[in-house]
Amino acid sequence: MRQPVTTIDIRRDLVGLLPRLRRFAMTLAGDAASADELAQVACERAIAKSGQWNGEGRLESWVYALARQHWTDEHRRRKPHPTPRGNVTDIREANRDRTSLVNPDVIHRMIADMPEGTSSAFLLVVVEGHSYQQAADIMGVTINIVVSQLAAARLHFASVADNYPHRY
Amino acid sequence: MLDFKKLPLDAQLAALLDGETTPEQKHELEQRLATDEGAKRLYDKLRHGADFGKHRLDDVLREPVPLALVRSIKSAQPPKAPVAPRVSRPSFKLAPIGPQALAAAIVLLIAGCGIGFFAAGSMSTMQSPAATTMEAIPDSNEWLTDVIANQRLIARQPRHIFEVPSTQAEEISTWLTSTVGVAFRVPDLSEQGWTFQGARVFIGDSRPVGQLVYTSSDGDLASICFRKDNLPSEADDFKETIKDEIGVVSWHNAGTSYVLVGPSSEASLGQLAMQVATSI
Repeated sequence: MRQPVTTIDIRRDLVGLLPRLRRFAMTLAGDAASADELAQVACERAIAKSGQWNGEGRLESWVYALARQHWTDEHRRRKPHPTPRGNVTDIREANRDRTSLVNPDVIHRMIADMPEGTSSAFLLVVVEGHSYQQAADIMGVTINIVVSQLAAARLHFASVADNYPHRY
Repeated sequence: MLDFKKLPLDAQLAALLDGETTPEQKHELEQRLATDEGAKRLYDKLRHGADFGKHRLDDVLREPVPLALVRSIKSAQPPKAPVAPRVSRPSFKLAPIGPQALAAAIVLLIAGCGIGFFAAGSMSTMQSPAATTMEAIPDSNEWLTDVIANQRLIARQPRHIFEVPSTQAEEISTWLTSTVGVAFRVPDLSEQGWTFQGARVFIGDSRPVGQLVYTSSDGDLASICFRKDNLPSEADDFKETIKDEIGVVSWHNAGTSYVLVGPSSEASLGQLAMQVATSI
């Protein structure tokens, strides 16, 4: 009945990872509720498979891959449903006002508005410092796709930023 | 493998920004940036977009993580320890000869008849305790509601968390044993960061419940509660449940029900309960 120490540690590590895991899930799911759900499923899978985690490398890479895998599986199963996404114009309008730019809903919409996979690749490489190969492994795509997504993400953010007059 | 030459210019410049180019590729791109105004503008745009996007994604980190999500992970049950692979044994072939098989059949027949005879004889005496047990099961968890309510109450009045302080160990032992009817020891949980503060008695589902109260250096409160019962030995052991801010781990041993109750944010409550079970 005694729980192995490693499984307890992984729960603590996962709780510490939650803000970043939730952000990664946000780049996949596009809205907070779905991201929370995805983060929870990823953590549950990680706990269930904690025996497979050997403690080497970055825990988040493994958990991110679990999240992405689940999201891909669910995405295939799910019928496309209309999400309350804003268009680029809405976001650019919102960007003119600093208070609305820090509004989580605006940021979520900005992420959701990007082509699939681009914000995830951007987050992994530019924000969190993963290599192209690591990002490709997490996302289950080739390096060439990651490179293209990174360029597209930068250009997207640049076009949004053009309408944002304040310093950030 | 990244086929750099086939990539469009924006992707090549993105790779340059990410430090994913070889020294030769980097040198080649830097030379182009020095002479090609369009390439330089594209490079600056990519860099500008990266800065902007980075700030926006950093903003996401400032959003609070839902407490329910944290709790669900802390209370998630890890898988049971993997079963050790069986050690291979030399194969044993069961191939009795005729007289051996006949002797074994006779022995089994006699044993079967004997067991049947004794089982039939004891059937009537087994029926009444079984009925009592069945009656006890439905209300077996009622007292947990009282335990949680009591824990919530004393957590809100930190200056009155015990009736008898830990310094009066003998009084606690005599008082709780005679009131609850359960012999016990006070588990030492100091290595786990929990200090024994004292004891109380309260009524849970119409029966006296003994409560040993512990606090952590963070000011959290945990209690071990126990009472006599007549639950079957196969009752759920180390069942962990969460009621809002309170986590509960319950188990049963030798005619006594035990509960460890503490903050639901305490991820190791289950492990702590197992330690209590071996030392109380």
